[in-house]
Amino acid sequence: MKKIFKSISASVTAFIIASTMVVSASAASSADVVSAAKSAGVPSNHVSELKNYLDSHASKFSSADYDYMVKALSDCGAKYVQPVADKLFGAGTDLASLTNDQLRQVFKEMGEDSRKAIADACVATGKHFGVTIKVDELTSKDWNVQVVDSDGNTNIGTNTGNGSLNTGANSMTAVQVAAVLTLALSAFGITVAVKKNKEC
Amino acid sequence: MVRKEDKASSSDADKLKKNKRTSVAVMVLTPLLVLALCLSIMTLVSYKKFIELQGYAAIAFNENAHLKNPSEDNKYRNADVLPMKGLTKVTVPDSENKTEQHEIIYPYYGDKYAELTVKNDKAGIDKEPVYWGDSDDLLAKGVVQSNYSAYIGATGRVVLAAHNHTYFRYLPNILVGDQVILKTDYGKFTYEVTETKVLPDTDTSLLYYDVTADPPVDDLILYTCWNNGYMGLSDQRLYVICKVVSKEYKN
Repeated sequence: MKKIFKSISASVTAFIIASTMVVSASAASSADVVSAAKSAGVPSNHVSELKNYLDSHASKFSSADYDYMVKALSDCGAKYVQPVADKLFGAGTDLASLTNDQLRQVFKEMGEDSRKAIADACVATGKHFGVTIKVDELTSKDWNVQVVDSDGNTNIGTNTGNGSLNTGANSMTAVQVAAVLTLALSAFGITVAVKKNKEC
Repeated sequence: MVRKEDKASSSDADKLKKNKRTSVAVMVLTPLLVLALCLSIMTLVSYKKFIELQGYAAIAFNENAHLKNPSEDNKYRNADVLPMKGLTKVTVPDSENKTEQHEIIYPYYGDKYAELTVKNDKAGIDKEPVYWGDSDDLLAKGVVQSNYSAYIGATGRVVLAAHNHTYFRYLPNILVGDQVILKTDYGKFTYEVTETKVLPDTDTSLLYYDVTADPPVDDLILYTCWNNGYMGLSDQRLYVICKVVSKEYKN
């Protein structure tokens, strides 16, 4: 009797635990996606871009959608990022604890094939949600991501690279350059003309 | 045999002819050069204003032009989409992590969605337009907000940048203690300057932040190129760090 009771309670316990896991898996939230991104080795500026996008488009995503995103991120992280991070920083490296500089090292080290696979996974995930994602690899350390949603709105992500914008005065157009050259040449010409006039 | 006097007089005649030619050339060219000089100065002085007014001129002289304010155009946004509103949990300032829920109207990339004012006349920042997004065309129109930074009014780090020869030209005049105000359609957010710093352009410690940090990061950063007081590109950035003073939401 005791044995039967034990086996029944063990089965019931296992069933309850399994049910809880199923319930939690489909009750994923945008916060879970953000956590998953961080744990997959996504740089902090892209994690916050992702958070912003999810917050502003919350009405478009369900728990099942968030589940999908969590899985896609976790798979990418485990397959492409973790092995390289382990090689560079030691076995079992916690990707969430790496700095952006360390993550850039990982992305540079992982090779073109892996980077392309990650970019392809991003594009495929976007397609699943009716969103066009364009990933441009500017250099091996510097990516740019552009997202066009199903309503045709464009969202341009920041580069993985430098981060701070070039906010100096460099906006000389062709017209302004021509004006400066004309000014310089005409001033020179007038000087020569005045000199010649004196000689005459 | 050519006499010395003949030689001298012929050389004088040559000189006279040359001087006459030079004199004519100078007389003809000088006014043209002066005109070119004046036109180039006028072009340099009025070029930027001309570009600004071009949009309005196109509307005034084009029968088929739509009557809309060209400065409000957002090429990144589908004109028919509705505003994105949502409730967000925000940290109450000076409250030991107490949170409340308030409504935010999320901007689309390229939207002008806030006005920035610094309560210091020498900073020269009064109701300057703030755009969501940081592409070069937006930088030319006003202050930009990189989309890795927190939405204004949400908990997080708001990061604003502008050119050092336009909207943030007098940013170096900001002082610790100055009030900085951001106004949006959904609220008014007040900050106080706590520190200014110059860092290399590759240092992102004041730009990026951990959105999962506990306690959460909640501040405002203004920055521009720093060339030791001169305009121009630079590999240094001037940062103005501000703490939250108050957040007033309409809903």
